[in-house]
Amino acid sequence: MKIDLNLPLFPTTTVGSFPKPSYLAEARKKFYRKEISREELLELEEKATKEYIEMQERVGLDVLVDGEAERGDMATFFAERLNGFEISEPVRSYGNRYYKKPRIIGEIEWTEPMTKHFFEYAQKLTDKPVKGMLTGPYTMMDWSFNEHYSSREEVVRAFAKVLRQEAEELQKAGCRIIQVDEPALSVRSDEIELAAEGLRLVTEGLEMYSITHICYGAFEHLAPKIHLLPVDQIDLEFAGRDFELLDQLRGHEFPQDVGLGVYDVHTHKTTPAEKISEYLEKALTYFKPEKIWVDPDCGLKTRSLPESEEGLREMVAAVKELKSKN
Amino acid sequence: MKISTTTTGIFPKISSSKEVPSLRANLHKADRGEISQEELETIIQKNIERVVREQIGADIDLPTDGLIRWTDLFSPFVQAWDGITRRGIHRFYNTNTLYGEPVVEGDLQFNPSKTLGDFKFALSVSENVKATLPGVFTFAASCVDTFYQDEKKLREVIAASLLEEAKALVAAGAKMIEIHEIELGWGDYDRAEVSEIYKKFGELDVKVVVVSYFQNFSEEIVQALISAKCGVGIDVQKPHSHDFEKEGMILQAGIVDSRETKIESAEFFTEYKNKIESTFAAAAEIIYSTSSHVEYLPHEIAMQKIALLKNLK
Repeated sequence: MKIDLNLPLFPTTTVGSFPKPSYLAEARKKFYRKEISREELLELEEKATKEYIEMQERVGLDVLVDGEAERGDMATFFAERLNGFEISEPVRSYGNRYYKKPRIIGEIEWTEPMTKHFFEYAQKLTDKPVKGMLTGPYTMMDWSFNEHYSSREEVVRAFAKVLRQEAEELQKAGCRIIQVDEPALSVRSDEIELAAEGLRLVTEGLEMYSITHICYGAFEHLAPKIHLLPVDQIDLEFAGRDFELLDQLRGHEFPQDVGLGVYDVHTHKTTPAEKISEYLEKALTYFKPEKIWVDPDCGLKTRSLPESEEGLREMVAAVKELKSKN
Repeated sequence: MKISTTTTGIFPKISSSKEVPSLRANLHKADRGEISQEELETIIQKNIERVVREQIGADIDLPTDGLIRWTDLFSPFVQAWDGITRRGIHRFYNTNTLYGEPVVEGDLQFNPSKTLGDFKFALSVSENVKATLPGVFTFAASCVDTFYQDEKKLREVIAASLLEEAKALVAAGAKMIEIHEIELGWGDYDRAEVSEIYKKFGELDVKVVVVSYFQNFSEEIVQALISAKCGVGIDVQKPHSHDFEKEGMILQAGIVDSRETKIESAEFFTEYKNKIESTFAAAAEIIYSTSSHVEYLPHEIAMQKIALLKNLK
């Protein structure tokens, strides 16, 4: 459901995760070694969340995130809190980065709110809207080992059911913007209808503005069908490939708003405001101004906090300049 | 008919073993400058030895060197060759693993990659270790080409460099080279071009097996590879065709699913073994293997799964 968020033109935001401060990374290790309690870890996660909110306010973003201080991997975090899972030993995703891939071994069941606490905590710290952040049912399915269900469709529907419950919890807590990330879809355009069904089951009828984030895949195959995704906004990674994606989208229907990734998060080099301005001008040749939101290509967790702040400042400066022209 | 076993592609780079220094921790240390490159090289070799010994322990006939140094299918070659670099990351076909996108920005020139050194070291652990290379079509399709801007020309120059790598592996003692050609299972390519490119590999004094995974080759592509004197690898759990000349062929049958943790049952193996060996009764050799990279599985489960392959012999 499209709702009036009363946001400025070209709203600025981030994709979700923020870098873990060293004290939090250390605390998480200590917690897993049972050297600190759950409460002590929670206190530090809240401290980090407060710092993330302060940073986003300082930079001047319009729509904030809680920064996901309590989350490790985006699929494992949910699997650890749902019934029906075991968590595997690490598997590699890229370079020297590993994640503990969930194994579905029984019926997937929701037990308690998973994301509500940090949403509420973050929202109390700011007057700006904070997004509720979920990993989508299609991505949860594709990024889990399945030892229980007989088909991929069944797994998506099972995840959609529990994520719907979580979305309703966020709505009750006052959340007005929900982001349901579906990065796995970027290389599975043949299953876009299934991903669309999952998104519909999670978001249909909610009084929230809905976003899905997709990144690092074969958009040339996804572009012709992207209009099928039943969300208010599709957030895509554009900067990492120097905005080539825009050419792939041309000629295809794109009724949703767009989240424009204008800042490459997989390099230590900051994308300068001048470059971001060029990207924005390019985007305006395809998207109407009122359809555009602006953010980094992906979550910031692989960058340092100073790098993230510098990158976001450049992004906000470029948007400010663009607004002065529009 | 000869029956043997192997594993496919990148082996889990980390294990719970306390006997071998952690590759993951030491790569981080090397990044932070806390250990020297020489120290890291020693740790890489200890891990190559670990993965070869683990496969021998599971009674695998043709172990791999584990491709311990590879961050993706292209990284060792992008680092070594001239005229090619890399930019951002991209998901690898339909997986949640990523690769650095190669960018061809000059005339491609071969330089030997570190693959050869790792392979030679692995041979010192077991003389049966097989070598691995990326496929020409897969490599080319994964590149951004800002130099040749001609797909066929790009494949031609990549083929030339990969052929040099293959020759060096043969000279080092390789008895088998497994070539990963995922793209030929996905894209629509000219059979004559496939045959022409792979003929040069098939003529080498080594057993060459071209494998696809995620999606199998069409009949035309299989026929093109066979006519180029190459063996063919397929994922037998996925739809695949049989309508081609099988007499004397080498079939690598990906039977253990390396993308799911569910352990295959004894009944499953019996059923598939019977089906494969009757369908490919005219083949010269069947090599049972994992369906794709073993590293898609956590180490302990990977070890449980590859241990099952010996039951197919």
